[in-house]
Amino acid sequence: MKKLLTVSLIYAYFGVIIVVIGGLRAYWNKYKAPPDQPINFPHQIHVTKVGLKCFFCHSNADKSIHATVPPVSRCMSCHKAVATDRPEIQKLTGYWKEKRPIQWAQVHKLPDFVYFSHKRHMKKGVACETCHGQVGAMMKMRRVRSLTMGWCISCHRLHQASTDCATCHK
Amino acid sequence: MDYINQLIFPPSEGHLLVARFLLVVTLVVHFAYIGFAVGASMISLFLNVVDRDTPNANLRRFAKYLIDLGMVHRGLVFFVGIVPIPVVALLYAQNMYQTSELTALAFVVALPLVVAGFCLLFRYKASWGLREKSFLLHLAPGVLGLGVLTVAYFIILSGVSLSMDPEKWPFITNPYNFFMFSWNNMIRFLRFPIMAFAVTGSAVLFFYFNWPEGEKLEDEQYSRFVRYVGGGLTLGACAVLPVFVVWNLITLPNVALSLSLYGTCIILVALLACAAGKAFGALVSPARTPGAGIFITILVTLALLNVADSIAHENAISDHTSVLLSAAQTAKLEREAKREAAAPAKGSVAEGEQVFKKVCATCHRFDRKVVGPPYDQTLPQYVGHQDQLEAFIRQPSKKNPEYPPMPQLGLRSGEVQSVAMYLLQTYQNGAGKKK
Ligand code: HEC
Ligand code: HEC
Ligand code: HEC
Ligand code: HEC
Ligand code: HEC
Repeated sequence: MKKLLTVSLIYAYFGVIIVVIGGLRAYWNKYKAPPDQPINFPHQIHVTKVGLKCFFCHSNADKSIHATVPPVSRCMSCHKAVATDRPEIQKLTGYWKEKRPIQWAQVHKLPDFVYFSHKRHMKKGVACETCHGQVGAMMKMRRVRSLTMGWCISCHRLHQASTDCATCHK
Repeated sequence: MDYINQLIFPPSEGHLLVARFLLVVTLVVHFAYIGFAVGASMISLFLNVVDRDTPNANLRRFAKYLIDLGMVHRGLVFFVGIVPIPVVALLYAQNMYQTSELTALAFVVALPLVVAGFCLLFRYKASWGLREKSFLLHLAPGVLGLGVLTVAYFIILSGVSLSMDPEKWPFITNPYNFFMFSWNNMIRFLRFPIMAFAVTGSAVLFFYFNWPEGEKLEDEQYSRFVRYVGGGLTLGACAVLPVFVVWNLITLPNVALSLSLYGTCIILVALLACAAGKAFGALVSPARTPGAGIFITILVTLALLNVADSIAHENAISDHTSVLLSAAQTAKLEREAKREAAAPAKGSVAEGEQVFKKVCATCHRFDRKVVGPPYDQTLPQYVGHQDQLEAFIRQPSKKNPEYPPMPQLGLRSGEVQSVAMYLLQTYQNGAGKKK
């Protein structure tokens, strides 16, 4: 009887751990995994196969704080004619005809109390890949850097950039 | 570290697949043995010292049994304890070609330490006769050997953790940085002795009760002792390991995580539950001789632990892997192009028409704008300059800001020649007709 109880307790313990991992899995999938986009936009095809430069679409990366995601019209300069038979492109055309902007799911987001500027980093010649990884190989956009304060500061130290609190917290 | 890069080819897909498979297999074999060697030495040394304080024939006998089993044969130690280290270093260098050689380097740096550690442990095993005369001379090599192995595996496991965290690679500019504190690194290091106890405990249960020397079992009191130590170690380790599995999942960088990693960890914990149940059975039912079941379950768990680490590593470097593969693809195409150039392909207008219809016509017509400009506007400058047209098709550059840039088409050089011939001919014929 006592033996049975102990064995049950042992299995219950492992059961609890499995439930915890299941919970972590669900949490990760909902909040941390690369989000599904309204249109499966493949960077890989456009950057590596078609050979487009990042700036062709993210044209504000060297001009402002935000790199910004391109408007639908930028896509349509090609997709009025290219691959119009694909379901994803038909969705895209749908947005364009109805003049609706596409609600891209945000992959990178710093808290509001942090000041970050793409322009400053572009000026210093920091490559997009340093912070966003091998975008040209991604079929689905994902975040490859933690975007934590420790990460920003490590790099600033390496490049002798400012690590003063006020640089990033205004 | 360029020499490592030069040693290793830009990998192709098959190449990488084989490398990954070998990496997991080698790591599993190596860590299974190392876990046992380290666990057995730790417990042997511990019991040895305890016996010195409170003499007990069982402790002494078991301490000797463990180290004899752990350092069973020089050849075996060489092949599963030492050889895998340079092999794994090469395989990591292959996987992480052109990114970071730190993981491979960690294995290389640890290699002499591992060799020294094993030599010292063999010395400890061989000096059992010295025990009564000079206890210190007998014990010191063992303690030192274990210490050296601990340092070696701290370096190795730091390297393994680093292989899952690409974000840190650029910031490690000197040896001190290499040991930058991270929780993930810490758990991998603390997990190591726990896994070592699990392997040692279950191995003892297996080898003692199933190895073909039946006479050992006659000493019932000693057998019970072995059963308690083996079962207890296994049960204890199985109970602690899940905490480390969860801790690992929490501290891994986001890039290293994936649903399949969580899935693997769930299976892993289920296996641990299975092993724990069996170890408990071995503890409380003295009538039954423990079989191979526990040992095998623990070995499979260890294998899954390595598979999980390998999944995390691959998640972390997956984008880089795609880059490597496309580089290999490009290299292959270049080789083919060279071969083609050696025997110049004769283009034909007929083939050109095919290419035009299949590729170019998506964006271009002769007489009107589609995505790209009408050919009737762009071709005149190329009449009589077919080579320039071919060069542009091979390597398009932006000419007119009103249009999006023309993509790289990836045509073979024969096709480029054909389509250029076709375009110029069609344009000139058409132009001729209009006049
Ligand atoms: C053809 C246009 C196009 C090109 C070229 C392009 N992108 Fe994008 N990019 C997009 C679109 C559309 C999105 C939003 C959808 C998504 O996240 O997948 C996006 C999203 C992103 C994001 C994530 C934004 C967020 O939500 O946080 C990053 C980072 C990014 N791109 C980087 C790059 C880099 C680096 C390059 C050059 C190597 C590049 N892009 C080239 C169109 C483009
Ligand atoms: C120094 C690191 C760094 C570099 C270099 C960098 N980015 Fe970013 N990027 C970030 C961070 C951090 C964010 C999140 C910004 C936020 O939430 O305010 C971000 C966000 C983005 C976004 C989505 C949000 C936005 O700002 O519109 C896009 C698109 C993007 N980056 C594209 C690029 C491209 C293209 C390049 C290269 C031209 C580039 N980035 C270079 C760090 C970097
Ligand atoms: C320079 C021209 C160009 C621009 C601009 C462009 N694309 Fe594309 N896109 C292509 C080409 C070429 C393909 C490959 C078609 C093929 O597979 O044959 C493609 C493929 C795609 C596909 C994959 C279709 C499939 O299912 O196979 C999607 C989705 C897509 N583009 C979305 C977009 C979006 C969204 C934008 C705007 C941010 C955009 N494209 C901008 C040229 C372009
Ligand atoms: C790849 C390295 C790198 C990373 C990562 C990085 N930075 Fe920078 N950052 C630089 C460099 C280099 C400069 C110096 C630019 C200059 O001097 O104009 C800089 C400058 C800046 C500046 C302007 C400094 C000034 O003097 O006004 C801000 C703000 C800034 N970074 C914020 C951030 C934040 C926030 C992050 C993290 C999300 C970050 N950076 C991550 C390299 C990096
Ligand atoms: C290079 C840019 C940079 C500098 C310099 C910097 N920070 Fe931050 N800080 C960040 C970023 C990015 C975050 C957001 C981190 C996150 O979301 O995890 C942050 C977050 C924080 C937070 C909030 C933490 C939390 O968990 O919400 C505090 C507090 C903070 N910083 C304090 C400081 C102080 C104090 C200094 C000066 C010693 C400083 N920071 C300098 C980039 C910076």
